[in-house]
Amino acid sequence: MRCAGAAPLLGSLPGELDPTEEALLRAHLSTCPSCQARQADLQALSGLVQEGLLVEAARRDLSGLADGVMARIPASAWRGAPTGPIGQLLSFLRRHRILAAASALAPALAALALYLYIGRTAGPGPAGLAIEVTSEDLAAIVLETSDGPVILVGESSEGT
Amino acid sequence: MRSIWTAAWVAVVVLACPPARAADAPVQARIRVLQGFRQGTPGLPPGLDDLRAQLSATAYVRWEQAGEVQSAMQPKKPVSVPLPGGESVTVTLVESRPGAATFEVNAPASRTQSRVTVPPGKRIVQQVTPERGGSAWFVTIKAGG
Repeated sequence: MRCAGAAPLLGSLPGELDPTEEALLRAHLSTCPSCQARQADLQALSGLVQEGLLVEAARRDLSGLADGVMARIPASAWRGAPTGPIGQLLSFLRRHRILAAASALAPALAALALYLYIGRTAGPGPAGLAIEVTSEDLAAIVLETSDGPVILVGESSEGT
Repeated sequence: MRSIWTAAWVAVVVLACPPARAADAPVQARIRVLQGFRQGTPGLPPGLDDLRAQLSATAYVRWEQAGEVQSAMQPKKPVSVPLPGGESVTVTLVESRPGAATFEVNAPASRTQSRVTVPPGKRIVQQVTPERGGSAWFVTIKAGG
């Protein structure tokens, strides 16, 4: 490995490189004083930044950080923010509950109307009388009387 | 919110159920086997008075009852009604609902099949054999006994 190949690997954190890269970098550093110096600078800088951040964090009072962050998250995000058209529709229905209730009752009202319509049209009376007669060899005649139908079969070979 | 959805679905289920329950109801049926004659002294036996309006509409003038079956008919379960001479007729309750019952009559002797919907109290009179020697066999069906 040359310096140009080793440069991007310098300053990497432990475990960040795969074993092959780590072995190549270690071999290059053992023979290249320039990269050794650069690696040392980067490690020192990283340590300084880390130490500085820890000092700054210790100086601040972060006891209310978690509560402050949670207070700024909208309630809808607790159950998952609406994503996609279905999520947005559900969010809309949560905000407009009367509309949602009306849309839920619409199928029930439609079923009720259909049921009442069928009940009215299929009720007793002459309109409810239905007759189908099939005869293979003989002619069938249907006489409708006040007491009900009379089905007769004749001698003709024509069916009805 | 959830209770409104639940109420809506319950309403749909309840509305869908009554027709299904009514369609499964058994029907008490009275089935009579009659023989009609073209010739003879016109008249009806006393037991057939309730059929006068229908029987007098035919060309047969004398009537005799040869058999009777009373049955609590279940939908789709055929009832076999024997005719004198070894033949038979099959009567099936196809459907029953408040205010109407549908019967199917299958008469192999005349190769005739009928499907008739009648309200309670009305009767079906059907010729089930071709006329032979001036007479023919009939069945009458009355829903509701």
